[in-house]
Amino acid sequence: MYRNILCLVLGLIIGIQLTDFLEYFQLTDSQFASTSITQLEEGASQLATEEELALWLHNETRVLCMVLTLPKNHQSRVRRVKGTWGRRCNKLIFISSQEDRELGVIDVGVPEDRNNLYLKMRKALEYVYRNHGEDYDWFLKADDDTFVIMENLRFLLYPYDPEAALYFGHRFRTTFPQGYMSGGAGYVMSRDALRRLNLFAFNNSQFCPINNNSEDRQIGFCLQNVGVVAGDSRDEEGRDRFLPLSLKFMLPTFPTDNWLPKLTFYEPVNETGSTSGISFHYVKIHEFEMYEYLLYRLHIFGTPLSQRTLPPRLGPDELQNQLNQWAQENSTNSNAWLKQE
Amino acid sequence: MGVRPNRKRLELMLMLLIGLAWGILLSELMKRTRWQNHADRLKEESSPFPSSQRSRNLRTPPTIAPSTTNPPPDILAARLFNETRVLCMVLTSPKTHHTRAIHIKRTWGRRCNKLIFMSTKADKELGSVALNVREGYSNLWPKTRAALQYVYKHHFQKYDWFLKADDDTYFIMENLRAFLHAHNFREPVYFGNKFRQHVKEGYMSGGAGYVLSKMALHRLIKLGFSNSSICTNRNYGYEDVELGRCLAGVGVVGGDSRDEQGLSRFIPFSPLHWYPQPPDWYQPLLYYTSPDNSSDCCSNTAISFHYNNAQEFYVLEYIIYKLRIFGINRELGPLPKKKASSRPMSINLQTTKEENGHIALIKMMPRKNVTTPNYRTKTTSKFKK
Repeated sequence: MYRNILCLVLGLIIGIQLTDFLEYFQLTDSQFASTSITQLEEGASQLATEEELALWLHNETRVLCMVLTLPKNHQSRVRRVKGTWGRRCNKLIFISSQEDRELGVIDVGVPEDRNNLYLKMRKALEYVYRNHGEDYDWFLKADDDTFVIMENLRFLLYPYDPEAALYFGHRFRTTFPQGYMSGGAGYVMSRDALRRLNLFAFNNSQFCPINNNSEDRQIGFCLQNVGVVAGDSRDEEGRDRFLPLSLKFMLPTFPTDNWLPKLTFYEPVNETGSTSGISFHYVKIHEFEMYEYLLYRLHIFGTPLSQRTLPPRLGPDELQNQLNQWAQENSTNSNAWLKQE
Repeated sequence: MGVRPNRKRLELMLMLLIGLAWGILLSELMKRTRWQNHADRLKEESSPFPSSQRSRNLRTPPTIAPSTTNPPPDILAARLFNETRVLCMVLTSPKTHHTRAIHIKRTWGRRCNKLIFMSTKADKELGSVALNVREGYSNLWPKTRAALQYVYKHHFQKYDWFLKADDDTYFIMENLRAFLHAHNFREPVYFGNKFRQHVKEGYMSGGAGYVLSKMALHRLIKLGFSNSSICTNRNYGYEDVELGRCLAGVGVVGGDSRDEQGLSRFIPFSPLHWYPQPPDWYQPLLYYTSPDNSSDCCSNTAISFHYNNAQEFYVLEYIIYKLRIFGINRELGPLPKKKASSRPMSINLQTTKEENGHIALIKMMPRKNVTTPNYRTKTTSKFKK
C-alpha cells in the first residue's frame, strides 16, 4: 500500500520535471520566439514621447481654422498665415468678399464694411456648418492678424468632448452675464456649439438678432442664448493663454493703462506669459515669419526639458460638473467697468 | 508464489505511469494559465497612445504624474556655465540706466557669469561702474577703451571670454557658450558679426556685440593700448572700427561665427523688426558672401540681436525661454566638438615683446605642466588642462 502511494508521487514529480525540461528545450531551440517576446514586452512598457503624442493629437483633436480677411490682405496676410501657423490646422479656410481658390479664400457675399463684420461672421459660420460641420471636432475663428500655436490649442481642447456645447478664448465681461470671447485673440467652439448656433440661433431673431454690433460680442450673445458655455482657457497658474493684444503690450506684466483691465472677465494675474500660450493679436505682416523662426526654428543649447503628457480626458459626469461650474461663474475682475457699455 | 511478486511490480509500474501522466497534465495546465495572463497583459499595454475619442469608450488615457513646475536641473547648460565663463560688459549711459540697462539685468544679463554695466555714473541698483570719460556717441571709443582697461584690471583672472554689448542688444548666452566651447580662450581670437569696411582684416559690428578671448584681451591691453601707433588714443572714432584695427594690429584673429549653413549668429538687427529680409544697409557691410540658396538672414542657433527696446527684451525672454509648444523640443545637445587650434596669421611683432607678454600671461594663470611655446620654431603648443 505504501509502496503504491510512493510510486504515484514519484510519477507526479517525474512528470512535472519532464514537462519543464521539454519546455526549456523548446525555448532554447526557438531563440527568435524568445527575442520577439522580449521586444514585445519592451515595446509595451514604453509610453509615447511628447512628440509622438503631439503627432497623434493632430488627428485626434481635429481643428478647422476659419480666418476672417479682406481682399487687400490676400497677397500679404493670407499668404503668410497659410505659410506659417495655418499649415498646422486640420483644415484652413479664409473668409473674404472675393474668392481666391489658389489661396483657399471663400467669398461669403458680404461687402467689406466695419458694420458688416458680424454679418460676415454669421455667413462664415453657416458656410462652415453646411460644408464641414460634421468633419471636424473644433472650429477656430481667427483674424488675419492673429498668430495661433495649434499644438497648444489641441493640448487645451483634448480633455473636452466636442459634443459638449462649449467654447474657449479670452473671456470679456459685458452686459449679459456670460460675456464673450475676444475676436482678435481668436476663439474656438465645439462641434455641438457650431451646430446649436446654426440650428437654433441664426433663425431666431430673439436669440440672435441681426444688427451692427461688434462681431465677437454679438456671437457671444447668440452662443449664450443657445446654451453654449464659456470655458476657462487659463493655465494652472491662472495666466491667459489667448492674448487679445500683441506680446509687446502683454509682457512682462498685465497692462494697466488701457481698456483691457476694465474689460477682461477674470481678475488679471500681474505676471503674464503662460508657458502654454496659444494666441497673440495685432500681429504685423512680417511678424508671422518672425514668430515661426523664434518659436519653431530657433534652438537653445541645454538639456531637453522633461517630457509632458496629455491631461486626462473628462468623463461625462466630470464634464457636466465643469460646464455647470463655468455656466454659473461670475466675473472675478475687481477693476472698474468700461464705461462705453 | 511466483505470481505474487510479478503482480506487485505491475502495480508499482502502473502507479508510476499514472503519476507521470498527472504530472504532465498539471504542468501543462499551469503553463497555459501563465501564458493566458501574459497575453492579456500584452494586449492591454500594446498601444502607447490614449484610446481614440471616436470610439464610444470614454476611458481616460493612462496619465503619468504631472511633472513639477520646476524643470529638473539643466545639467548640460550648468556644465557649460562653469566651463565657459563669460564676463558681460554692457555699455550704457546714465539716461538709459532705467529705460534699458535695468531690463538687461532682469532678462538675459542673469545668465552671464559676471555682468558689469559701464557708464559714467555709479548706480547701486544697477551695479554700474563710473568711467572717467565723457558721454556721447562720438566718445564711444574712449569709453570702450576705459571699459576694457577696467575689466582687465579687476576681472581678468576669473573669466575666459569677455563680451561687449550695447544696452539695446539681446544675447542668448547658452548659444554663445556652446559656440565658444568649441574654441580655445588661450588663442588670440574674437567673434562677432564681421563687417568688411575700414579695416582690411574686417571688424566686428559693435551693435551685434562681440566677444574677446582671454588672450585677445591680454594682447589688446598689454601690446595695443600702450602703443599709439597700433591703437589710437584720440578721443573720437567709431568704437568697433577702432577696436578692430587695434586687435588686427596685435595679431588677434577675427573668427568666423557663422553656422554650418553660412548664416550669421550675431545679428546686428532684430528679427522682431526685420525678418526674414535684413535691413538694406546690412548686406553691403557683410564680410562674407551670403549663401546663394538661402533667403534667411539668421542662424537657427542665433546668439545676439541688436536694436531691441526694453519691452522687446521681455518679448524675446518669453518666446525663447518660457513659452513651450507641446511636442516641439527646441533644446539642442550635445555640444559641438572642439576645433583644432590653428594659427592662420603670422605674427609680425618683435619676438622680445611677444615673449614678455606671453610669460606674463603664464604667470597670471598658475597651472601645472604649462609648456612655454617657442615662437622661433613656429611650432604650435597647447596648454594642458
